[in-house]
Amino acid sequence: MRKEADNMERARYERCCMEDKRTGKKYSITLAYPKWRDTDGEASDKTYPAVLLTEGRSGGEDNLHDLEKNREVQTLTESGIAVICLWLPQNEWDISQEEADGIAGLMFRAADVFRERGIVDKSRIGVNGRGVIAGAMLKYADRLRTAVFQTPKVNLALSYGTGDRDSIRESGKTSMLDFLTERAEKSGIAHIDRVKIPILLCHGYRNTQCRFSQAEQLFIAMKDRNGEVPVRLLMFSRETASEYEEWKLSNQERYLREMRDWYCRYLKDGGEKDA
Amino acid sequence: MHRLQSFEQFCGADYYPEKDLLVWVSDKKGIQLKNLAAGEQRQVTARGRAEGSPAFSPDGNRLLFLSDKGSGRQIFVLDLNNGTTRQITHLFSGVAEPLWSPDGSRILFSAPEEAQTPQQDGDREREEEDGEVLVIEDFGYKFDGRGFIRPRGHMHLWCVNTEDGRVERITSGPFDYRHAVWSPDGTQIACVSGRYRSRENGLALDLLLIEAKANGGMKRLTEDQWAVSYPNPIRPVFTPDGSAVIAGFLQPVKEGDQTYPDVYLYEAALDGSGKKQLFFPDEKCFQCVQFPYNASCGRGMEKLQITEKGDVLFVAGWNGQCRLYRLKRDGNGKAFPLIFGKCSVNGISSVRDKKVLVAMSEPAVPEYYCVYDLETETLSQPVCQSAAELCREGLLCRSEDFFFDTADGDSRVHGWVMLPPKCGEKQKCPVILYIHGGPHPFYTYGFTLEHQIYAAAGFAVICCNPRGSSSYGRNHQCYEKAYDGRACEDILQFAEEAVKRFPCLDGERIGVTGGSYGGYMTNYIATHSHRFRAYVSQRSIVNELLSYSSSDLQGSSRAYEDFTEFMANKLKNSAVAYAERVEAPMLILHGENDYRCPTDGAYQWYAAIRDTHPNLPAKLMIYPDTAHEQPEDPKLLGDYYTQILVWFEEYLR
Repeated sequence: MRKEADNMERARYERCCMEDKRTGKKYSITLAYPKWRDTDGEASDKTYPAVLLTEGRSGGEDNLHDLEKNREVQTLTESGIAVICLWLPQNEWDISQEEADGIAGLMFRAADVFRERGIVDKSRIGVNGRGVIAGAMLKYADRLRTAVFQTPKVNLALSYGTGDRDSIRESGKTSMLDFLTERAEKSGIAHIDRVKIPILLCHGYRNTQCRFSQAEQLFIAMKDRNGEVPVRLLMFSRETASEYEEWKLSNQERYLREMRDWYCRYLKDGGEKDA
Repeated sequence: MHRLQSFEQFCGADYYPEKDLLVWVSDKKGIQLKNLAAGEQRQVTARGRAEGSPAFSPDGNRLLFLSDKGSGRQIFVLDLNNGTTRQITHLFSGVAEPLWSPDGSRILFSAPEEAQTPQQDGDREREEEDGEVLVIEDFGYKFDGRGFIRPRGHMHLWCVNTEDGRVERITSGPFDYRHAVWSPDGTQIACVSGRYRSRENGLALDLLLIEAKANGGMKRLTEDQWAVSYPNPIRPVFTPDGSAVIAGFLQPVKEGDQTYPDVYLYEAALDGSGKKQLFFPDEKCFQCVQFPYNASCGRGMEKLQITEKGDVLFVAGWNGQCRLYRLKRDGNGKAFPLIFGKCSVNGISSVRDKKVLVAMSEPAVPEYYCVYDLETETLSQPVCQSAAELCREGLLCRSEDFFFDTADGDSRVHGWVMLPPKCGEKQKCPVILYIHGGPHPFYTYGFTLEHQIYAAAGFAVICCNPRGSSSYGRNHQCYEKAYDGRACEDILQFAEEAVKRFPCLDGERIGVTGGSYGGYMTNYIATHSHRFRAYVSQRSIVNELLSYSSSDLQGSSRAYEDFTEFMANKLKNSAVAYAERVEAPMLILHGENDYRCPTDGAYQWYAAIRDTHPNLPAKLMIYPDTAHEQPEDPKLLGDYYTQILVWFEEYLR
């Protein structure tokens, strides 16, 4: 029965729980890794490169059924790459930059946990981020091998008035200069000079929630300041949604393909995709 | 506003003196061909919707033109002797810039790389799908007015045989090749291209020499300076003996210096022996290129031509004038103005039989063409006048200009005042202060339809060339002065001078508007002065941090070690950072496809004003299918001007 059940799974899973000491919030984290570990042909002590990503879900409870259906997760595990998924209690677009910064730190701690369990190779970690999570991950770029950002929000001084509904009146500031400067300083782009890792950016050009100018900002800053580092920007010219799952099917497939190829190239030595 | 939609504009012309034939393009009447001596005039058409770019063959027996009958604009040739018209090109993409070879057997033109690729079944769908995703890995991936540049969308040089229609592509690769010209013997082509440059600086272009055949050899003629293309392209010319090419060049921009460098004419030898500067600045001519903001003439015509003797003709700006100059081949580097004064010259045709057609306008006279005789140095009466009916009705307003010294004594500012009808001391009129874009362009003695519309509605329109504007010398043109507050002081001082000199202007009812840099300055004044009653900000720069990455003329942060410091500095220089200081009603107009001053800036500007002043009137209008300019569609343009008028009517009356 167990063997049959195993054969029906698309990946294997482990879990842990992390607490953000600054806020006291607890987060459930699930590791998904290739299912053929511990079976014929794959050593039981094999370690995998891993990608950190977040999944927004009401209540923040992990749900293996959802992970089984998550095409990013399944695409990566089927390519021999593990995924460390942190469950957010709400939509990724509703969290603040400060919260995102905390979450980013937790994900690296989770990577440590799974390394200690002998599954994850910590020297080969990538990240898949959206929104402010992408911005937060730029701070940790020196601990990453590569990144794929889908609809990143990296500069809050530009997102004000162009997608964000924040108001200066709620900030307590009276000077717009101070307000915007503070937003810029806490943005992910402020850490651009430490970003020496290849980055793949994917963004819908007609997105009104998180404007394409966010992806451009990161792309140009990389070319301008880290010109020797590969950076590739895919502009999906007709897409409006922030989440790729709502894109046209052919664009979803294009995104998944590009993401898979990118991680295989930069996380798997030799760049080979597992069959 | 209905007069606006019927206002006729010219879009190019050519003249064949031996047969006294004139051909021109009217946006209302299409291509018109006229025998000036006999007075006969007719339309030339292939029954397309959009037709233009007419040019006489070297022997004057044929006329080529572009027509969009069929797929995209293709080349047609009209036989002037028997009246038959033939379609010469049948490509799958539209073509542009057709140019006869010296012997008339071929036509050079520009088209995308894929122009000759037929589409198979399913290709269109696949192309649409592939085209939905653009891969960007380098700078220079978009350009205002052109959009995002697809991999096979670069413009290349092609050649078609006029007899058998055989087409061959001359250039290839992920580069644009522009402003091409034939050598006198028809075996080579000179053009400008960034083929040998990195994409980081789109202004860096070289002069190339290419064999006029497929897979022909290519030679780079210049390297140390940049051939001029943006914003005022100068098509090179060959010397009559074919030994050299004359073109406009500017010095490469030094890091940190953003003043647009002077443009001078150089003669580059084809044998690689180098190039020499043709003239030096003197009191008659400062430099070669000009950025007239409102010359309103010369579209589709050239800025540089060469006579049969080898004298060079070019248009250039000087003290607010747009002049035609001649540089004699055997001269001593002195350029002499041929046409100057309170009029604008902004386009010249090829020189034939010692005559050249010139495109001109005046503040109260829309575009017209005259023939300049190089032998007698005389200018004919206008041979063709646009919007002739409007001119005959005598409703167009004149303007007066004056100079004044800046308060700090650094320079002089030149300005114009256009008074509406019935404006007098008993009936003072409200004022619209219009600031030009740039900052390097300059207002000139040209016809400005928009100003006429506002004057007809009862507003005085005043405009000036503050520091930063070109044609008045390097000191006045200094880029820093355009942004460090001195240009703003000039504009404020000009407003006071205008009110003082023209007592019929109501100094208490002044509104401010401008586009691009003019929009930036409108925003700047709104946040640094309480002098004016209302503002209209058009396609403006609002957030320099946004322009850094999202403008097609991207900036650089490399002068800063710390990116956070760079961001802080950019925000400090951005209008949006001072939104709380705006105290007068603000209308914001912007194009949806503006890649120069990104549209996001308009959203942010509007949001910031509403956020800081919930009760202050503010309005945002985004115009579809509009790049970094006012809308091209006449109906949209009518709405655009109406919005401005209604805004000023509301807050200045």
